[in-house]
Amino acid sequence: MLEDRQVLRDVWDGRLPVCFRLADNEVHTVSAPDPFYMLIPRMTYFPLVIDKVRRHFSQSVHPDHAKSDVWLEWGDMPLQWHYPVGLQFDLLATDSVLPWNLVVHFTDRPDQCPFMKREAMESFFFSTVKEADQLKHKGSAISSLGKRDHSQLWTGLAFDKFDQFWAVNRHLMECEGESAFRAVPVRLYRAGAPYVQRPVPVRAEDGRQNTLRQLITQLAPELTDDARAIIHGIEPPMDTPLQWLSQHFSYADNFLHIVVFP
Amino acid sequence: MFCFLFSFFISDFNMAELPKWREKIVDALRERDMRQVECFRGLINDYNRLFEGADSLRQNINRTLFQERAVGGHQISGDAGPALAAATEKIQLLSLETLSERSDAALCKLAADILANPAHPLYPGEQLANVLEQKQVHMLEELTSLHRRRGENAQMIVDLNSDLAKLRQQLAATDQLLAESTADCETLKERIASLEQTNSELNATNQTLKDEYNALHLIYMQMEKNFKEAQTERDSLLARCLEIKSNVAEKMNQENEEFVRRRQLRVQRELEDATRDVVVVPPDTSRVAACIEAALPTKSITSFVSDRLYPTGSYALPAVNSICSGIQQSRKYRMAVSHCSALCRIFTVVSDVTRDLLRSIGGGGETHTWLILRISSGLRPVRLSAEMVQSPSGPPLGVMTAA
Repeated sequence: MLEDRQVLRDVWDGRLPVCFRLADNEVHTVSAPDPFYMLIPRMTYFPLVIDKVRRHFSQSVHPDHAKSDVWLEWGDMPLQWHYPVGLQFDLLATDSVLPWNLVVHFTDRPDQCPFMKREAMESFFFSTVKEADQLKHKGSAISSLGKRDHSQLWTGLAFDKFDQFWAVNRHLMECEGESAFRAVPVRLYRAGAPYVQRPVPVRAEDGRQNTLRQLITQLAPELTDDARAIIHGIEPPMDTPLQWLSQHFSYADNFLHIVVFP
Repeated sequence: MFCFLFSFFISDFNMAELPKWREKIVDALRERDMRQVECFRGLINDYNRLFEGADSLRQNINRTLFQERAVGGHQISGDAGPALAAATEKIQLLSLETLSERSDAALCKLAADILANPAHPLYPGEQLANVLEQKQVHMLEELTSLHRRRGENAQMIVDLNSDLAKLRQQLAATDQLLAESTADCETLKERIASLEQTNSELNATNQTLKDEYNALHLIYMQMEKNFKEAQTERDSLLARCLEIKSNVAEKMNQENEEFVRRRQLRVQRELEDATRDVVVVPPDTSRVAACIEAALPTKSITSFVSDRLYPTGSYALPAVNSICSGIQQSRKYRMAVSHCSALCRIFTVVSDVTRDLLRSIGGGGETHTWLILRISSGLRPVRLSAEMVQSPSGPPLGVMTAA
């Protein structure tokens, strides 16, 4: 079983080298500030790491804007605050050169990416977790957790503590009595289109386990067999069972965020 | 914590069968980490460490510079030579960013070693003393020049401070002026607005008045035209009227003349007729006497005969005078005089009556008629009565009695 724990650990330890630079038109000092490099966990969200970045650049922008909300841009596209970091990279920049060069803005924030504070991010995270548990256990698992478990789950994610996080998260991943979830919480992303979310049963009608291939066929029937499905930066084999995939490859919010390319 | 995690994994998975897809996934994850993480991990960690070091050094420099500036600012007037020298030295030291505390320690250690060992090739000797002396002279010169520069700078600071104060004063004055001007501007704007409003109102009134004037003017023109027409009509009517009147007057005159002429003719004819009749005037001897008796409350005492009686009955005052003179002798006479005017009227009546009587009687000739007038005294109204009496010397006459 250590191998399985190893998979969870590997998924948890997925990192992305990110280079933050201040937008050229917002530099208020004589010389442009140095870029800021970070290894960001794929599981986490930008609101949890943006404070350091803001602190780094706030000396270099106009004093009036130093306290305003920041936003990130990659290749003329604003990044969403509520998507996990790894998902956004896979969706937008999966084949681009690393480190991931993001531009930090302090002004002119576009309307489609309203800034999320840490507290807003936390409540959004828990609402997604509850939604996932509703699909898996009809909400019974999450309702059995106490307030302390909730905060442990959140701090585990926020401070990148694997053991702390999984001590709570395993309750959500267990199958009580049955051998599988009722449905797999999954969202299918494609570049330039809204994501598709539909409950997909773990077992087919003939009793066999559904695999990744069946999932993609159900959610995106128009895709050919050559389509690539990417989770956590890798392409899992198409015959991977959904139950296993959901238990091991879900993001922190218990959802499988799969990016597909035709 | 690990134990329950472990139990979770055991329950979940059977180690005996390791499917192929799982191997592929594990390999893919490893490969991903090698590609995306491992080659950047060391780089980013080192970069961040270096960055933090540089950042802290930069902050140190800034802090020191700030402190020195503050010290220099406080001691402008005093003798700050040593402080200035120390600051210069520190800045020089700090400008060499590579000189860390560790290298300081190493240098100290080296210097101690050299000093402890006279046989060391770098042990200070005569030559070193000369070099140091020269350095000292050089440093003193530099110190002097720095002092001079410092004095100049201090003077410049004082000048600039006074300039700054002046400029601030000017700025405040300008600000005040600006505020006043802004307020004035606002007031004037309001005034302009109100005046514009008044102007527009006046314009509207003016327009109304103009319209009214035009309308009235039109009416007036119409009325004047009517008036002129009426006047010409009046003139023509007046002329016609005058013509008619003159015609009428002419006619009247003609008639009047005709009437006058006819009357004259008639009068003339009457006169001619009258002159044609022969009037027989009785001779003087045939006298008609009238006796008037004034009967007073006691009894009538006087009878009196007048001189003459005119045939046409136009006897007047002379006859009365005669009566009055006839009764002058008695007391009743005065009464009669005082009633003279009444008597005249009575006489007039009596004469008419007398004439009628005489005519009805048909008397004539030698007949003397006496007229007896009785006048009752007192304030009672006069009542006249006439009666025919026979005069004492002739035929009876009508007697008038006042009861």
